[in-house]
Amino acid sequence: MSHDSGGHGFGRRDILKGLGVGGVAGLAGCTSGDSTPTDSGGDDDDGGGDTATDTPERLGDTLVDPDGNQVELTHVYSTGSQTTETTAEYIKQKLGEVGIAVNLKGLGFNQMLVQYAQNAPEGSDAASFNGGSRDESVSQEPWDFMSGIGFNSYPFTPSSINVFWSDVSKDIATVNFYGYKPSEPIEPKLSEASQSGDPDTRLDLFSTVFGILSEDQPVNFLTLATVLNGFRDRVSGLGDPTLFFGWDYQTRYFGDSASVGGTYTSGTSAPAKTLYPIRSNDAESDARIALALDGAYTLKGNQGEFQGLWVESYERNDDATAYEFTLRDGLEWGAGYGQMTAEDWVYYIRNVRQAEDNWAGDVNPSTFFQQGDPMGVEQTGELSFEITLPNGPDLSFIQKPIMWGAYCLPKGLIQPYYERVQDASSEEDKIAIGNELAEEDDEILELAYSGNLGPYSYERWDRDSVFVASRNDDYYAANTVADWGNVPYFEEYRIQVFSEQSTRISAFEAGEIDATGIPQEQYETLSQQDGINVVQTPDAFTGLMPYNQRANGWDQLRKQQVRQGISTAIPKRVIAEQINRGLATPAYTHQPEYSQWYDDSKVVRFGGPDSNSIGGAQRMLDEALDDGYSFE
Amino acid sequence: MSMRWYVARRLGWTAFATFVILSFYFALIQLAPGGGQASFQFSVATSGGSAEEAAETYKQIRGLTGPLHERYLDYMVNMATGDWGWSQTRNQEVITAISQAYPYSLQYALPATLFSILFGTAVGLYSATHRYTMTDYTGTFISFFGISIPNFWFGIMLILILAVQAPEVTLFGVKLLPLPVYYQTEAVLNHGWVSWENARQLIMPVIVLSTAQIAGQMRYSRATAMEYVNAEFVKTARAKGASDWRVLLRHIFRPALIPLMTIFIAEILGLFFAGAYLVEVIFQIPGLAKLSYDALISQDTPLFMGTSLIPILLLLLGNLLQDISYTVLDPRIDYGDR
Repeated sequence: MSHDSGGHGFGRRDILKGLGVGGVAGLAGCTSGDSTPTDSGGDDDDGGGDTATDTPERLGDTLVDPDGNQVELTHVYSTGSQTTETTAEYIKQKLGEVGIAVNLKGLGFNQMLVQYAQNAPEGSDAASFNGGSRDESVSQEPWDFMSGIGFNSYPFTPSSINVFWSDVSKDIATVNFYGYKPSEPIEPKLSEASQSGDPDTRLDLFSTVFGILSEDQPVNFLTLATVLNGFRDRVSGLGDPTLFFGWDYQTRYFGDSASVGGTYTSGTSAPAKTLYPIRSNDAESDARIALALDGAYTLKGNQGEFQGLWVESYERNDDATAYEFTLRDGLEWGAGYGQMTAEDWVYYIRNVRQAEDNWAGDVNPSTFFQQGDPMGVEQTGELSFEITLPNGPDLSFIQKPIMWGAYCLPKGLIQPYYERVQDASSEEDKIAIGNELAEEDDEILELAYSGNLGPYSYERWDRDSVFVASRNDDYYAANTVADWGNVPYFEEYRIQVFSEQSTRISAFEAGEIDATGIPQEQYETLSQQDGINVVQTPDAFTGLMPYNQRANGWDQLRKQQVRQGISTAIPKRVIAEQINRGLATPAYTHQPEYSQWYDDSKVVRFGGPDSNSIGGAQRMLDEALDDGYSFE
Repeated sequence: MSMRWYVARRLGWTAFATFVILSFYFALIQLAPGGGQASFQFSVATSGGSAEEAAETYKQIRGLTGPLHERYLDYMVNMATGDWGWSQTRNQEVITAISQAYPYSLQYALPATLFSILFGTAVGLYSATHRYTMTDYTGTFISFFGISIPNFWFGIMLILILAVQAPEVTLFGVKLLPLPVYYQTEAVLNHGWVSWENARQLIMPVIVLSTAQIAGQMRYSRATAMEYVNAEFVKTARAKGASDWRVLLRHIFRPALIPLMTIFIAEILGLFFAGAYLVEVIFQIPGLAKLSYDALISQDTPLFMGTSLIPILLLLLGNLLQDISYTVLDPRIDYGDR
């Protein structure tokens, strides 16, 4: 999903008006625009590359199809974000210069998914995000481009991107709604990379994939955004601004030295849905649950290093097919469930997370499965258990969101329900038991089982207003984990919901809340205010514009060079620096440059300074389009 | 026709209209594209899970399994018996959500409504009897200001001026400003509903809401009273030496009260579903209107149905009460032909 912050403080027309000048200046200044893009040389922040040639002349004002009509394409985008809407209008403007008429169609994200992304073969009701053959499975409505969507680039576990880029015919390609068929097989390379123990081999395989994606242009990779985290300057101990910023939020405090005291209030824009981990699939619910439950372990640093929390350590077998986790001693459940042991984990994973009929309504039911097969889970000691991978090794297992941040529930809490499930005669009855656990058990609803397992204890949850947690004096991690001292340092931790952005920002300016996300359009103003500290952190999501290569898209989009030509016409630097106010960087493939698996020499930068011009785009299209298309 | 038969007929009509509206709502929700299901499926698919299985899970936890007619029957029975379902976005019963939200709305809607009824009506009547004076112009200005200024903008401006930018202001030894930017529920928990700490965070919401309400009330009262200012019976009263207050209250206000009842009853009934969407969203008051707004935004069907049903029932009930009140207030109105 798109991660730009939207907002309504700056007129879209104003931006476009500015782009009219900025765009021209940008093109003139970047000097490139030759008809074929060049591999980047990496000698400047936009890739540098070969010395640019003169901008080719345009071939005409209008791209005409074999019937003599101007080519008209449909660009759907999700509404609600000013940045997305402005980007869509800018793309329309640039493609208009190429000679292609673009019809913009804005609609809500859910509706966009239903009508344009989900597809199914004719006669089938089971719509998914890859219904198989791109000739047979199409969306309800025809489309050509799509905006307002972003894909996680998984910079630490890039094999996870196989769901986006594997061939449309593969089951593993669960999100290939645009009907992409790679020019070279991608999925085997990702699979081999995830199983290889040799870092050089992995780098070669991963970077090759990123090179293929940059050349194939299944989507137009647009930008990598940054996250803007605002804090009042009385908050100390913020930590390093890495991708895992906040992994050690327990160590934050007020003032100059770490001591216990004060109420910390974080402002957020959306309410939480649940405090029940099994049914939490949104960041807001997780943020509240995490205050009371640390989870198995976290990742930190620039490369996602393991930092034990409940799990003190792990061991991997030689071929990376089994991982043994050891729990800390002294982890205590609340509500009288005793010590957390490996038995709790094994029972929970087997009978809840891997339950065949998903009686508990797990919203992430595939977590403990590998390619559809359940992972083996065995207790190896009172505090240790082993997870085995049924379909081969995975060196990135630790950094995947399987055990990373995983929660557990006490066996004593789950068992009575699960025993009833085993006795239930129908699926409806099993579901009813699962719903009873989720909706009526007070220990679940109020996190009563959390014991000493998190830095804070549940106090109250005013659904549309505030979640309040108080300091957990028995917190297991105090003076135990890493070099943490007597954590946590706040007496009370609140998460306050604001439905209206301007109210949230006003509360932050007035000092009524201590932290909140900063919208792009207010970054400059707020970062210069006294008493406010804005921390920029990288975002793993890539904003992109898929090209519909299914049967209800423009048939020419199935050609690699046509997609390249269109991407060439859209200068990403303008989108990053002007529309995103310099708070994003151009993206040319599905991996950020800070990733250790990114190899600049393999990435082709369509839409970058060396491969961006209208004339160049027209020549690429002219060369690639079927007979009968012409520029007039 | 007796009045009892008339009321019975109206009640029957109200029940029928409620049935139709509930069925209409049910159909609308069934036809609504996607709901939150698509984004849930997308989230699962991006993690490598099956979108089809995710759809099943979504229906399972939202109670959307089973044939349509069974779900419709369950829905109608539940609505009739007060079991209005489970809010998945809040993980609590709809009735509980509504009952928790209601006091938060009432605490600002009650003073705003009473103030606007009393002040708006009084100024409207006064303006009608003192046309084209400075007082009339001032009242007209206030009413046009209230009608013209968007609540949304007005609320944000008040926050910026009174809560963010304003220095602290003390009036008669009481620290008034800056006011809190947003509504904080702990004021009620720590100090109670009736406390200065709670009241001061309602000042801006009441100002915003009552400004708009006063405007309508004032203009309506003024226009209604104008019909009677030069009526024969008013002139007669004046000729008989009745005081200005007596003329105003006994000879102008009383006949004007009949059309004014329409707006009075609507506003008083409105207190049972109190809340103004924009006011609650801007000031972050966790009341009924915000509950309904969030339910709509997050496509929480049971909650949205619950919060929508209340105003519908109140609307139907309000129409009934208005018709009956006319017959009580003015004996010349006969319900026999209705």
